[in-house]
Amino acid sequence: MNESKVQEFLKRMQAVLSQLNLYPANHPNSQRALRDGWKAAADLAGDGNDDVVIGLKGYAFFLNGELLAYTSLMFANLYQDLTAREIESITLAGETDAEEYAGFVRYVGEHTEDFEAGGSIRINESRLVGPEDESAFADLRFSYSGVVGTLRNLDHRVAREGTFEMGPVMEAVEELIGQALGTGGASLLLSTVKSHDEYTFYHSVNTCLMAVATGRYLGLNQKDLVPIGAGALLHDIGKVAISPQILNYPGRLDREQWKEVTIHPQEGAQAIIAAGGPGHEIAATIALEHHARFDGLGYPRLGAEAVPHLASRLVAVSDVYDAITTRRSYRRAETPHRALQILLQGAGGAFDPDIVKSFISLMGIFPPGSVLRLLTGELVLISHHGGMTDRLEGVMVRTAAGEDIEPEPVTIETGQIGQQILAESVGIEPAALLERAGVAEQILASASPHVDEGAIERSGIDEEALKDQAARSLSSIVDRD
Amino acid sequence: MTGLPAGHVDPIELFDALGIGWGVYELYPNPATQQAFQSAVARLGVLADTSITYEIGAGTVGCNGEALEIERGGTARLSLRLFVHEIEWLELIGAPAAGDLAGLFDLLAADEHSIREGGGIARALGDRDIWSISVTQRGLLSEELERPWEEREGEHRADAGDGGTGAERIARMIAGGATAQAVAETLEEEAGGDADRMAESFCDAYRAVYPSAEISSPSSESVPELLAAYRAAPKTRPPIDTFAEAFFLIPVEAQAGILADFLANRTEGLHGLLLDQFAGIELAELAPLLSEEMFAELVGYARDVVDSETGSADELLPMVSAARDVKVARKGAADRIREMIEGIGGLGGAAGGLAGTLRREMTDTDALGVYVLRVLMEVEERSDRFARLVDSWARLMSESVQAGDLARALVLLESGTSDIELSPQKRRVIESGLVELLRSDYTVFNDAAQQPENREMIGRMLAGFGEGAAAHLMERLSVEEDPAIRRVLISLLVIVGAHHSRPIVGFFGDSQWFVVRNAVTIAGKVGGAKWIPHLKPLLSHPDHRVVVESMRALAPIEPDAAVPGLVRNLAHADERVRETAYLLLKDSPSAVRQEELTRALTDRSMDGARSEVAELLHGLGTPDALGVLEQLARKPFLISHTRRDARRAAREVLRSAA
Repeated sequence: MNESKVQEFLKRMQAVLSQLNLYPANHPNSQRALRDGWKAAADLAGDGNDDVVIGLKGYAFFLNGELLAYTSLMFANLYQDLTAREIESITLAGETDAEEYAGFVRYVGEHTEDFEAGGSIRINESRLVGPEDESAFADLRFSYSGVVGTLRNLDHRVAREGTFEMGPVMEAVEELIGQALGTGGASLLLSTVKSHDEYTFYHSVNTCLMAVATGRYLGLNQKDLVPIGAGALLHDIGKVAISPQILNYPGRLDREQWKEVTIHPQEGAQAIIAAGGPGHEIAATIALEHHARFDGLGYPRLGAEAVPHLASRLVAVSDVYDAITTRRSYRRAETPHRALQILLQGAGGAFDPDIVKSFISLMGIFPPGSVLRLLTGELVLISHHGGMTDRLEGVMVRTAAGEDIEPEPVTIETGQIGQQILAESVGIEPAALLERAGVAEQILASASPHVDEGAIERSGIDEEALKDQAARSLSSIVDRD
Repeated sequence: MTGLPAGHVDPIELFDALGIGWGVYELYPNPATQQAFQSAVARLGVLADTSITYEIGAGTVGCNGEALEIERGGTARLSLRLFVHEIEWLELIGAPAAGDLAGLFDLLAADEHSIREGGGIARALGDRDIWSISVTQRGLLSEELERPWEEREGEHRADAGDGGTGAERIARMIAGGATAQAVAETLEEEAGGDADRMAESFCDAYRAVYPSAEISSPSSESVPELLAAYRAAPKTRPPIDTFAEAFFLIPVEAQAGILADFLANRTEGLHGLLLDQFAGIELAELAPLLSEEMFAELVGYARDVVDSETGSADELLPMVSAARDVKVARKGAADRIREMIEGIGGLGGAAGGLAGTLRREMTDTDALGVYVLRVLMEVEERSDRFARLVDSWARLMSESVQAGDLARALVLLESGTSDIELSPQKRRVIESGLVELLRSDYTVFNDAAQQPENREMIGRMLAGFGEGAAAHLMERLSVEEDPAIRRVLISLLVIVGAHHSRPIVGFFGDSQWFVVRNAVTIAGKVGGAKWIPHLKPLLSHPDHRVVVESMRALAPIEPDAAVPGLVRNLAHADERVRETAYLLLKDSPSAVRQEELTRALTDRSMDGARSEVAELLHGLGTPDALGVLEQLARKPFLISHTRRDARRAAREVLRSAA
């Protein structure tokens, strides 16, 4: 059973719900969305001979009892809509009827009070859900989707009122950082999750995860990391003031469009200042300065000889890395390796060279989640941080003949690499695949291999306290197991 | 790129028709029934016996290598939608029927990922039996790449055949969908390893596949067939991708030769298309192999791309982005990164101290907040946003006051009012924002000021709010009934008034005596010569309470200026005024007292106050003052009543003293 078909089914359902909120059911847009949704449902139902059961439990979707980790992450909002209607399972039985599909979606969207059971779409008929998703990685994933949800709500609020409440943001960030610190390098795997439709939200969470990981690598403790994480999470909040047409404009921006884009740091900083609350000053600084360059260029201009705050410089590197590795309407995604090259090119100019160096030391030359084609043709997904060494650990996911295989652990030398390719171009979701293969749990078990003991010593912080903290994180994992 | 003889149809007009069609499609559920849609289809009828091909770029549409000007909204949206679907070429073959056009639009309106997952638009058009429209999508190369290249190589080498020049064979291979690897190997084989010949074949093959009027190509006649074959082949990749990838698979000397050729011809035909496939850093690697002249061309190309008239190659090339990911991590990349990492190690020192620095920089959050506000106030040029910013800023101040953190409130205030260059208009917005804050949050400031230890700080802050705040406080004072609060307000206004006297002076003319008295009290407490011209007239105010307060205010500020009025008020009808005048004169250090009192002693208007004048004059104790009294007392005979009364007063005071 193909998880991507479930994603398509849910994505189309989400689109229909949006359309039905905007237009009456007989409007062409609603009709078109319903038609596409029905096709996706029919396609999913027709994938095999058995009934298809999508279960909902513990903030996760299951397909015939199997956890759909990343589908759960991507469709956290829809999950809430469905469970609000007390739907615990959706069964697609046989050929999907278009009328029934429309009735079902209208019921989910609360446009009707009843949905007739017993047809080709049935709700709460099956108890085939699956085990609770109890892994530490699942907690991290849950936090991730929670933060995305927080950003969605906040985005509407900022667009409407120009401000928001900082409290829920801080709580969400603390939760995410707590999970990220407890899961070591695994949080970086999660930062490979991309969304074209909700780019800013996912990009912001990824930037937050990477900035926190970099800060941790440098030796900062959780207390220090929370305001930096909040700043990273909110750094693009000002984009709410830019029209989507400009944000997604596929070509080169003209002067007016560019001017509108360059407003977003100050727009974001203003919204954060208006929000106030503990830690808002650092978050506002980061939002204001994330496009101000190390060499004094960029925007907004901070004045002669002004250098952005170190926290802003730290976030800027994570921001650019994630942006480069994500596909946008106006350019393709670049590979992680290429992104690192671009960062290096900008070291000392756009970026703080020390931060770039630390970031690359943290991520490694081929960061976890990189997809490499070997000179012999196989595809290998890098799972572990390889640092500056020539040996890389990963899983082989495709043979030279182009056959997908069950992920198989493999160690390769950099000399074997023929090409690094975009994960999305070969239909791979790195984090999902590594989690399914159990590799994420291995990384969890190996705690935090990225912490640079030397950096901690050099930073002059209380190493014993840090070790205690690490031990507590480890112990929490052991307790769960 | 097109089968049209030049001049028969207007590419802009036809694309415009497509744009109109798209606009109608967006608006109506059954676009084919709409007249505008039918007109658009009719306009496409000129293509009945021919075809036209559009090149789709990022926000651009071209035809025959020339960019079309897109003006109409529907046209712009259509070109954007085509680009979103990563369509590189759109070809209209013959006159598309309304159904065909609607079919294309259905596909363009659909989610691009779903379409790609389904095999692309070209396949979907075929599935719908639409043959009058042909498209080539950029990204579909990945599926093709998933097939083992050896398998494809066999097919394409067979396609290439043996006929024609080397360049023609290469062109046929590429148009037939050969892999870059196969193309590179063929280039090397045919050139016998000679870099110059390899470069020449590559360039000729490119010009054969991408001809233009300006380029004479030995194989130009075969191009339509090559392209037709290319388009007919399902799921083949665009030739440009193969050219770009093959480029990196041949020796660097040959790459340099090709680069030189393309740089020299970069403004002609579609030579720029190949250059656009490379990132600046990739071109920079070949730069050392270029001649001086070609290096200058490279810099010129980089300037065009990054839209900069200045800058060196080192600055410009890193800013040149590749149009696609043609070159990825290759052999030795890890070593290069490692070298670069070591290189930047020397730029900024050890990273180990960063945590400590970061922690230190994050300690003073107040300073950070102030810094952000200052920058925002300086850079924000939109008036509505600036007003909102001022609101936020003022609210933060109020919250700080409420929390008892007056120092922070004061720092916040100074962030927007001290040492900051702002336009007069911005300053006005700030001042009115602060007054508004004082109006809305008056109790916050008032409550804080009830604590005597806070009063100085609150007063300084309110002074920073400007004249408007002083006026507002005066208004508050005029209506406040609680004497305790009035006292606090006055003490605040004493601090504010030191900076802003004008609003306080404005209340000297108020019709209510107590308002004037309060304003005068404040003036007296503030002190300073600026009040003198405004206080002096008040010594003759109709209300005796104002007069008393005015004398008290003026006497310490400017004793000499006060004395004439004080002396005059010795004869005031009100006893409190007289008493006050007497006491103030008695204690006054003014040197003009003797002169004024001497004059007043025999002044007719001082009837009833003669004794007080004489007492005060005697109290001065100076020989001159005593001399005046003694001389007057000795006079045996005086005619005027006033002078007799003065003699009486002088004798009394001298007798009392004796």
